[in-house]
Amino acid sequence: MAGRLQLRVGVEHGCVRRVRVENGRPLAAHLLNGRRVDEAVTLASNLFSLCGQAQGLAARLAVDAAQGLAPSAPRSRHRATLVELAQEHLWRLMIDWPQRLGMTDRREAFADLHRRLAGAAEAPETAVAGLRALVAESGFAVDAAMDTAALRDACRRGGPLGEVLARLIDAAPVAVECTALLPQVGAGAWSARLTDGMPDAAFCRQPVFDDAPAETGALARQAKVPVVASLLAAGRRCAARVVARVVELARVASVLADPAAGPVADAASASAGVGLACVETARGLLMHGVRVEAGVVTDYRIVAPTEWNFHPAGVFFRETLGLKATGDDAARSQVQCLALALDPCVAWDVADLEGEEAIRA
Amino acid sequence: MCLAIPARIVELTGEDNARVDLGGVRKEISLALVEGAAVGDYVIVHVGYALSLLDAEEAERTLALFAEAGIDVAAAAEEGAAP
Repeated sequence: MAGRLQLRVGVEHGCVRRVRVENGRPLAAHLLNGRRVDEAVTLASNLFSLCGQAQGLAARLAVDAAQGLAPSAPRSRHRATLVELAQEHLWRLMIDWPQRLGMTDRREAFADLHRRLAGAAEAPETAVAGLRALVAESGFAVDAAMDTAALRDACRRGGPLGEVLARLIDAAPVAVECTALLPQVGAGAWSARLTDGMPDAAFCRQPVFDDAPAETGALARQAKVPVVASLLAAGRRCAARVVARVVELARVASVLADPAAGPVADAASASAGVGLACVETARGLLMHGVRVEAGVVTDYRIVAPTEWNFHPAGVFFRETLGLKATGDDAARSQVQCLALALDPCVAWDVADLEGEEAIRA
Repeated sequence: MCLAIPARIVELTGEDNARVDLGGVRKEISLALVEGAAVGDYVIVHVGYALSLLDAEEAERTLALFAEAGIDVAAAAEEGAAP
């Protein structure tokens, strides 16, 4: 299946001169058309491997809204969606980043914490303790505004996670161009912004906010947290994305420790039979739009975070183009860092442009 | 969104590892993230790890849906590995 995200660059004298993003991810939402609403909700959660909880929650919220029903997803579903977000963050922080930076990954500690989170419904205190211990390894306090050097020192004094972050702060590219961060406006505002309250095919492929691409994900959600804001102010957007994930793990621990914590997603309806749900996932905003007639889905649309961040003129494109490093290989390595920080939800690879495009580069 | 291809465990190979069948393709994976998986169970696999256990009936329904949509499960499973 042509599901791969192909990131192509033209590098010359340590500078990325050309970038092409080819997103061949299939739009699978149409598989839900013609299904009864309950069947569509079950399928939505079974179709996707990394975000099944979020997909199931979005589907339930969207079909409830379309049918004029109060949200029926139980609190446990909202919590499971948050657990899923944390598990994805762990994977990046304990496995993928150490590997990318040439360090030893932490498979056993990762598996242990992943399992604790999977059991968070029965034993939240075990999961919370594990998350808090990991966050403490970062070495920083999220409410501390520090310059880059001070943050790097704090990370080095932390623990294994801090080591990864310190190395990342040194290795990650410094952004030249900035892309707007997607504001957290909620399903009601999205419903009013989209024609007929539903994303259309063009929006599903290349979503925009105020007619421009925007970045979604942990950075967009946590940009105002002092430790993240100080990295942003220094142009260290790539490192800020990873630190924002650590901040979110701390927040997830607090929510899991609080049995009365509220929902993590919402939905709205522009008109009878139309529902729109917004759920925040590890990679960013997941949007489901649905039209329902007589209990049957007639049109289903999904907008995934990867379409925002890997929009052909989006944040990956803009931060890669013009990226400068000490040599061509160093530049390619920084492009890999950037892609991992933005974390596509499908298989991806970075390679050089070939043929005529490479010559023009 | 990575499609979730159900894989059936065909053999436990020791040390939390197992061999699974993904649409006819055999792969060695880790069971470190799931508890109590046995031969015959369906799991969702991502980058060499079983992420979750699936109810057999649900797994077969999902596989039938992929078949109905013309999705080549074995090829989709090959694409499932991120670098």
